[in-house]
Formats: sequence, C-alpha cells, structure tokens
Amino acid sequence: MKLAELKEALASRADLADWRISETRRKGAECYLIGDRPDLGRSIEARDCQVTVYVDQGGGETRSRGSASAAVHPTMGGRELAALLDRAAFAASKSRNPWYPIPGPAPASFAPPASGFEGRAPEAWSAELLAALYRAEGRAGAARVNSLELFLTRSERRVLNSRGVDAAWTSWSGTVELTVEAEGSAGEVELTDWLRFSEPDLARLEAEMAGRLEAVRDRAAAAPLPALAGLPLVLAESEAEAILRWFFGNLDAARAYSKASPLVLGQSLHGAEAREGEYDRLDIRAEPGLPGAPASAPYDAEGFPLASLGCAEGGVARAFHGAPRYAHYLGLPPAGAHALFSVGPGSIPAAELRSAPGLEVAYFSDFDVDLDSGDFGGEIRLAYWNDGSRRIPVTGGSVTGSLFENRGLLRLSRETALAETMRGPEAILLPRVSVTAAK
Amino acid sequence: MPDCPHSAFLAERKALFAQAIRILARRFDYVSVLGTDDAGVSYRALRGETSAGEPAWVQRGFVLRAQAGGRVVETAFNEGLERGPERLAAEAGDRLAALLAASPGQKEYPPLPDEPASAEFRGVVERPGLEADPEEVLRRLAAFRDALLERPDIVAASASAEFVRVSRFFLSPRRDLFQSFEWGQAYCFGVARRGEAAKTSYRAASGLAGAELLDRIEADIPGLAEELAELLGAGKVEPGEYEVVMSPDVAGVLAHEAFGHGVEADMFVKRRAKAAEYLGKRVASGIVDMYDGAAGVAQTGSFLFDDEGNLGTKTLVISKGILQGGFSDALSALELGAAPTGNGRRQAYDHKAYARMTNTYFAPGSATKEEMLASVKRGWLLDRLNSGMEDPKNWGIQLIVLVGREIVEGKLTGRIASPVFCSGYVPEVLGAIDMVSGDFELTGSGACGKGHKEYVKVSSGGPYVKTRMRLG
Repeated sequence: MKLAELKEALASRADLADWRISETRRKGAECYLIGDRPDLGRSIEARDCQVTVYVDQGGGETRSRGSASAAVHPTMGGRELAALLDRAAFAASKSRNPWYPIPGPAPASFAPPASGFEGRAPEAWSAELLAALYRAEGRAGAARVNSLELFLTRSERRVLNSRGVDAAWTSWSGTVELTVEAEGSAGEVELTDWLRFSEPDLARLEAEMAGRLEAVRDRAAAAPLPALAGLPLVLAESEAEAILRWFFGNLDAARAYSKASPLVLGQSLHGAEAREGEYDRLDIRAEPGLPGAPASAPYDAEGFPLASLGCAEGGVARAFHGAPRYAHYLGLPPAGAHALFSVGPGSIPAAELRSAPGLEVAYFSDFDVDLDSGDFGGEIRLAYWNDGSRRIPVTGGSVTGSLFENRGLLRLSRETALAETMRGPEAILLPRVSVTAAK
Repeated sequence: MPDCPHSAFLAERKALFAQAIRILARRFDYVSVLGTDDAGVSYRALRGETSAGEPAWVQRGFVLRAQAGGRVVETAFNEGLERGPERLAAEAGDRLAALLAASPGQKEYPPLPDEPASAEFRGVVERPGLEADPEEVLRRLAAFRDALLERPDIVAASASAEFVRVSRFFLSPRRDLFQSFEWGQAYCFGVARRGEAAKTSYRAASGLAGAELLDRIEADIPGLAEELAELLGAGKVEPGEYEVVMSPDVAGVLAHEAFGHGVEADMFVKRRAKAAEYLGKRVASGIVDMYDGAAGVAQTGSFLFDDEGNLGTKTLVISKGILQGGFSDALSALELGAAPTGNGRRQAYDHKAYARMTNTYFAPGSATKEEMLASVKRGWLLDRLNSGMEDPKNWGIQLIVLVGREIVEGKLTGRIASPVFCSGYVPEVLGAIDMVSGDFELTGSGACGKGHKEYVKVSSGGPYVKTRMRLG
C-alpha cells in the first residue's frame, strides 16, 4: 500500500469529515554484546503507517466529532484497506465528542539541525560508537561492562491530513542499555542503566560510560543504608527529570481538560503555602528541540508546528502545552504536544546542594513519580549519604515523599544539564522525605 | 463458540515463506521465519470524550533468523513480499550475510536445533472483542466512567478496554507451526482529590477473553469508588519491617520479580543471575512452590509456541523452597546445554527474542485469608499493585502498592496507607513466607519489561501469601 493510494482511498470517502496519516520509515542497526564480544547482529527495515479518521455528526451547537485510529500495514491490499477504513469510520461514528478542528498547514517554526549521523547508514556507525563506549573500561579498575545493547535508528517521519498538512522530517535515535559490574567484599554487584542520544558525540558516550563504571565501583563499596531521619533528598539526571516532569506533565491541556491536573493557570506551581525565599521558582518551557535529544521534532504527531512555549514563569502556571484538541476545548490558543521541556536554573550551585548533610540517590531500582497523586519513591541501589563530614556510598532501603509536601521547598541547582527529555537543573533538593533503612 | 480464525494474510503468505526458507537453507546452516499479524481494537472513555483505536500490540511483519558457522543473525521487515520468494530470499539473505560479514568476532553457538514439529492452535473466547459492537463497548465504558465521576471527591476517571487477536506462524525447514488466539484486558481508573490530597486506584480484568471482561469490570466499580473515597484519608506507613499479607496480584508480582527475572536463562549466560549459585539450594521457605509457563494455565501469557518456534511448557522454578531451575530462549538454552522451555519472546517482530516470563505464580497452599490475617500481630494487608522491579544480580526487590490496610493483633484496624513502598532481600522475603492460602487467581492486565524496554504480555498471581518486608 503506497502512501498515494492510501491518501486517495481516504479522500474518496464521503463519510469522513477529516483524516490524518502518520508514516514512519525506519532503518536500524542493533548490536548485542556480552562482555565486549558481539552476541547477535540484527538489522531492521520497516514502514509503519497509522491512519486516523474523523466522523462528524449533527450541526451547530450540537455538532460532534468522533475519531478512530488504525495501523495500515504496507502489505495491505486495496480490499483489506477498504475493510479497515470501513471499520474505523464505523467506530469513529460511535464516539460523539464536542467538535474540534484538526490542524491546518503551517510552516515549521523550529528546524532541527541535521544529525551528525546523517550521511552514513546506521550499521556503519556501530564500530565507532562501541569503541567510544568501551574506551573507559580500560581505566575503570575492577569495574567492567557485563553486557550492552546498542540501537541506532534513522526515521523518516511524515504527517499528512485532509486540511493540507504535509509535514516531513528526519530524526536519529540512539539507545544504549548497559549493565556494569564490579567486585565488592560481598561479591559482585551490578548497575543497569540506559543512554539516549541523537548525535555521534563520542566523547559524551565515553564520559557517560565512565560515570556508570565509577558508580558501580561505589556500589561495590557501599554500606547498607542506615536509619536516617530529617535529611533532605538530592536528585540528579533522570530522577530530577522525573520530579520536574510532574510539573510539566500536569501543564498538559489534556490533563487540565480531564481535571486530573492539580495545576491552574495563573496560580503558583509551588502551592499557596509556599513562602518567599524557601524555594526556587520554576520556569518551565515546552521545547520542540534540545541538542542531543532524539525526541526533537519540528511538528507534533498531528502535524502541528512546535515552538518554544513558556508554560511556567516565576513559579506561576502561564500556558498549557498539549494536543490542539484540548486547547480548543479549554478555549486556549493551540500549542502542540511537546515531548521535550526545559527548566530554568535555580539559585544554588550543585556542589552546595550536595555539600550539606543529606542523601543523594544516584540509582533507584525504579523511581516512580505518580502524576496524579504526586507521591514519589523507590528502592535505592546506590546513594551517597553526606553525614556532614563524609560522602558515604550506601545501598538498599528506600525513600518516599510527596510533591505536594515538597513543591514549596524545592531547590534547583544553578547549573543545568541534558537529561533524556529535559534540559534543566543538574541537581534538585527535596527536603521532606521519609527514608526506610536497608536493615 | 467459534475458534479464533488464523490471519488470512499470514495463511496466504505461508507458501511464499516456505519457499523462501527452502532457498535460504542452501545459503545458511539454519534458517527460520516468524510471521506475525496481531490485530486489535482499543476503546477509551475519558472525562468528556470517547475514542477508538488500536493497541500498541498490533503488528504485522516478519523476522528471519539465520545461523552460519555458529553465528546467529536476524533481519526484520514488513514489506517487499510482492516480488516473490526468490527475490525475498535473495534480498533477506544478502542482509543476513552482510550482518555476518560485519561481525567476524561474534559469538559462535552450537547448531540451532530444528527438530520436526507441526502443530496448530486456535483459541476460543466467549465474546470475541474484535467483533464487539463499538457503540456498545463505548457506551458501557462511558457508563463506568460516569459512575465514578458521580462521586464528589473523584475528579478524574477513565475506563478502557483492548482486545488483541494474536496470529503467528513459525516456519523452518522442518517446523510448521501456526497459532491464533485472543486476549483482552479492561481497566477502570480513578483519581480522588480533596484539597492537596490526591489518590488513585483502579480495577482491571484480563485473560484469554473478549467483551465478557466488561461484565467483570462493571461489578468492580462500586468497590473502586468506595476505595477511592477511603484513600483520601490514607496516611503513610512508619518506615520499618512488618508482617505483610499480600493479595494474589501483589504476591504474583513478588514471584515475578523475585524469581521470575532472576531465573531467565539469558541472565545466567551473562552471569547476571545470582540464582546460578543457588540451583538445588534453599531460596524460600518449605511451603513455597513457584511456576512459570505458557502451558498449564490460561491467561495472557499463554500460547502454543514461542517466538522462536519452541513449544510452550510449564517450569517448576521452586519446589518446597528449593530452586529447581529457570526458563530459556533458544540461544541461552544452547549455551547452557539445556532443553528450550519455550520462553523465547519478542515485543514484536522487529525486536530481539529474550528469555521471558509467561504466566508466573505461587502454587496455592492450605491456609485461608482469614487465618492469615488473624496470625498477624502488627502488619499490613497489601493490595492493588502499582509496579515492581527486580535486581537479579543482587536480589533486591521493589514493589509499590496502592492500598495498605493495617492489621494489629489479627484484626484490620481500619487505618489505610497509600502508596506503600515495599523492599527487601529476595531470599529473606521468600524465606519468611509462613502461610499460603488456598486461593488461586492470575492477573494479566500488565506488561513485563526486560530492564526498561521489551514489553511482553504476562500474567502473575496465585494465592494470598504472608511474609515480612520493609515498608515505607
């Protein structure tokens, strides 16, 4: 099924008020290694296509719109496609939601620079990327790579709709899932983590791996987490991102429309009880692109052009990002569904956040932040306990807390860093947490 | 009830691939193909809207595996079939050969076995979800949502259902397998808020089942509404170690995280499984039996054959507290010199096969839930699993549950905590199991990842289990 045939099939149907096609052509290379030896080689070449149909009913004040989506496989023939579109149109006709428009054509306001990977096939990069990832191992003493998986994919995205949108862009996505290990007094320990990247930044890959090898050495030397009370929690990287994503996620128009979000435009993100000087005000922007982030894109999934959008300024909610449909429902200007966000720097150097007595958790088993309740926590795989004079690696136990109890006391570091989907404070501090000892 | 039909698309392409396999077999020591055509529908009712779509599990594509000189390579694709078997075999063969040429130092495995097998399976469900009337499904989901939103403290609610018809064939020179079956799952989810206190909970139903799941969810809505109202008064557990009685869904995830991931045979190959040191040794109390298997029970982790063409089996992982062994994908079985257990599973045709769980559960015991509660001096009844995470090398475990009910001197006090973070050291947690109920219930409404990706449908559960864990 070619795109032109699909477009023609959709355009010929009188029962559809609108339609959208999202197509992705993927070419990927994958390497699986145990130690430093390749275990399995794989290649992927695929075309994924999703169609969404919209059916309107009624008119005037009672006009409603229903939608249904379905995958159009490239191996589908004309008869199979017709049956699929019949089913989708019928299902769409059974949803009667308040009417909303779909995006029309608009120029991109953000043009992501071509990735440095462009010009070579994914598999042609494998050797260089692996060499960079393993370079730090030679300097890591007792720490080593247990196993590693490398994925590099080039994707050509295209979004078309019945209102004239025809947006296309190319992206590169690299992922490394890695397990590092080191010998401790009680036997071997390991840490599993992942990296995501969109540029052949070999120095970054080497540094990221070196950091993880150092961390697993620390875990090998870590003591069981003792009973601690009254100490603040310091988080960095993906855990800091997860905490700050709670604010970004609740600034989504869809969550505001469903009333799941506790955040209200014009009100403080830090709560009414927050006292001046006791917290760093959040500045949050929805971003179409961040250098090095694979999710950078000039358009959202509906073909709406993305631009940098100030969602919170000076700690006050100013705008919702999200799918244009929900902005329409809320009577707000459409902003598009951003995957990325940035958070402005805070007032305190990261070194200072870490220098006071506290618990900095570097690795959780699985750090969980509940978007609805604001509860967060996880079991600790590696943390550093600052007892006022020493930075002691500890492991085991868990930490829990609530964002509603911490948002008025949140501290952000002055330095910023790139996490997977955020550029924001390198470290953050949450003072009100509960710690469960390892034993 | 009619048998689930095979994908007509796959049935029509079987001969094409059988021919391509014969051609490729001249070029490689081993060759096989997995063909997938998993169809599905999903329905959602959120506040003020309903919609229909397809679950993320929908896929149609092929993965060819080849072995030459011991090295194993794969190529995945989802188009280019119209050019015929010779061209398909030539192009895919060239991609496989290029992968072999690019990796001269790659690990060499013993020859992949290709024992003769020919089998077919077509599942049966009461009311096939793919044929359910969209209007009826959306109307019922909207009614579930609205029943929750009628409560003044429930600020957000959703109801959803998805039905997937799995259809896959596996062909090699000597194997010809075809299976088609349907599974479904339905959820209701609510958020209660009063002031800054916000709590969530859910109900889920799942199984090798279709639209009949909506009846099961509907019966659970009043209980969910009551629970959400109760949770607004929830406090926190004072950090410490407690006696805990786990509901079947929480206990099942304990099994899954503790000795499910820990005995995946590819973890043994990577020396990531501490369990390797404990084969034949005690890892749990003497009343613990634990199983994993696609065969033997009917839930979302059940199938006839895995994604590498090995028939599903049932593995006794722990017998009377003694670790018996694990389960494998084809390559880890080869490496360990063991028979494959049929646990080689892929997220989709374009993903690698790993050793994965299927249906993982504790076997029932002889106690009753009431006897278990009565035996607790100071502890918590844990229900409504949120998530779990394993640590196969170092045997840490994390479970997050949404509902903890305090037990003092054998009685529920009415005090409730949410969420409850549970952690512990696996042998200590399993070693402290002193009561197991006679109940048996599997839940298959979640998905299992390997590390942080590679999601497959699984189920877990069993009986109520009483043990000790650290809570916070």
